[in-house]
Amino acid sequence: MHQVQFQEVSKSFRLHSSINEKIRDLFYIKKDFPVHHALRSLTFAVDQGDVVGIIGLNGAGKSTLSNLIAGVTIPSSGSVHINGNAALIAISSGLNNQLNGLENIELKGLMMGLSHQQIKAITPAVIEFAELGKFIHQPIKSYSSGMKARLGFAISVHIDPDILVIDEALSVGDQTFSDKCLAKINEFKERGKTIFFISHSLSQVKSFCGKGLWLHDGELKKYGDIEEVAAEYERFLKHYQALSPAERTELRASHWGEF
Amino acid sequence: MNFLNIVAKEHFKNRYMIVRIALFQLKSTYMSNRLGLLWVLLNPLSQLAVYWVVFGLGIRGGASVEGVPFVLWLSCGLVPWLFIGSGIVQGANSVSSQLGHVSKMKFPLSVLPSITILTQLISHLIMLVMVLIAVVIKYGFFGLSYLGIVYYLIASLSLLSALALFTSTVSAFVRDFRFVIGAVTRALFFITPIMWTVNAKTPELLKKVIHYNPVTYLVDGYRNAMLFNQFYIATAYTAGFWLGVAVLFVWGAFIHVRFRKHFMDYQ
Repeated sequence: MHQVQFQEVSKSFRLHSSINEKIRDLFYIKKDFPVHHALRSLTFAVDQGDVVGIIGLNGAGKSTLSNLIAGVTIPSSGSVHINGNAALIAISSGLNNQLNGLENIELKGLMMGLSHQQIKAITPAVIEFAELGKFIHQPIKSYSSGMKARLGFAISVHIDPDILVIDEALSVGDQTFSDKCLAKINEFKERGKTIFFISHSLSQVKSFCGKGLWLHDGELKKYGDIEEVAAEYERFLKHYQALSPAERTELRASHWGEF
Repeated sequence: MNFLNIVAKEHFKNRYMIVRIALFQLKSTYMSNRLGLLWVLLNPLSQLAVYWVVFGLGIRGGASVEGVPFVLWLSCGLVPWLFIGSGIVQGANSVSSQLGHVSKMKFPLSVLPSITILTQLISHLIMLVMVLIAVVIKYGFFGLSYLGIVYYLIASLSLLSALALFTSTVSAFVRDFRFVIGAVTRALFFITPIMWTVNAKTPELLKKVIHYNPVTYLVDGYRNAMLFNQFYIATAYTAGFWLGVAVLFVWGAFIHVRFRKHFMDYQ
């Protein structure tokens, strides 16, 4: 039994040009709307303990994929099977600026489905990881963005999910912060958790992940050993960067002719 | 009827979370102010003062209502109204205003309207206790008819929760809907006898509208229980009211469960 299994999963967004179209669509009044295919017919399986790096250009569908894994959105077609609970590390969501650090730990914990006891149990570890010191009793509107990011990351990561989805979460803080986060994620890795890691830093992905999943314009270009996938992606990037802007647009939009 | 099951289950499973988040919301609204939670009372008091001066002293010339001083009579109607009115408006906004906070997690979305209504209920309870203290000082303790307060509180809460489930789903997709809600709520305030009384000069049609307005049922009920030692609910109106609430709840739960998977995509 795989821990995460995608079977011909597609996700498309209809491009409505007016609010009326949006409502008509909602009530299934048929009309052909232009559709943006964020993901097309993805099929892959991930086993427990796999660390998968998701790579691809901007707009390739990486965030849509991470939302699907975390159960935040549902596919337009196909099936997603997740064994265990998955959590997306979203640093700023679920935090309330008026409340203090401690209250925010409880608030975000509750929103992510923890019980009162579970929150009590993780609170000391979260405080320690976030390094907020005396600021823990201050409203977080007075925090620097780095402090907020540390708190948000600390809460998300201490929820202790079976499957962790990290979407560009490490790009917000300074070097010390991202090193600390990486160390924490490594701890997850050693404990045999399944991790999806999305980053534009190819070196970070290569050093950290065992498998690579390359998305291009919503399609699964290559999935397998990270070395092979990254090597091919690098070759593609080199080719892509040599193109003129017009050729780049053409390449990226090569599937848009299906309207 | 699976959708009813989903809504009920999400509420039961997350009952602790609903209460805590409602308290946090109340705190985050008021604690950044110098006077904190005192504004829960100062806000309605300022409204009460204006209505008292304009309607009580200005229009009525200080006359009492059925022997009750106007200011006390007004308070006993205004306090339930503030709960119902703000419950209607905030309830309709409950999904669109909170969706951003829960956008990156799996969250039992049907509890969002309930959290908002509960926040309103907490401020309502604070105001209600204050008014009740004033009533007891003036008239002494009525005893059994105070059960009526509990009944009308539950009735208001049920109506607001059922309504919010429906209106919050609609306004998550059609943002214009909140302006409609605002206009309807404003109209409701005036077609409910909160600061004026129905009398011989009131046109028959208006009397009918006022009578069939469910807010009248609630506000009058509160008032009769607090001021006139009356608690009588064995009427056809009561049956109609609860039937309406039940229909609204089933309908609201149905469209919420049916359309909520699109909430995130339509943000």
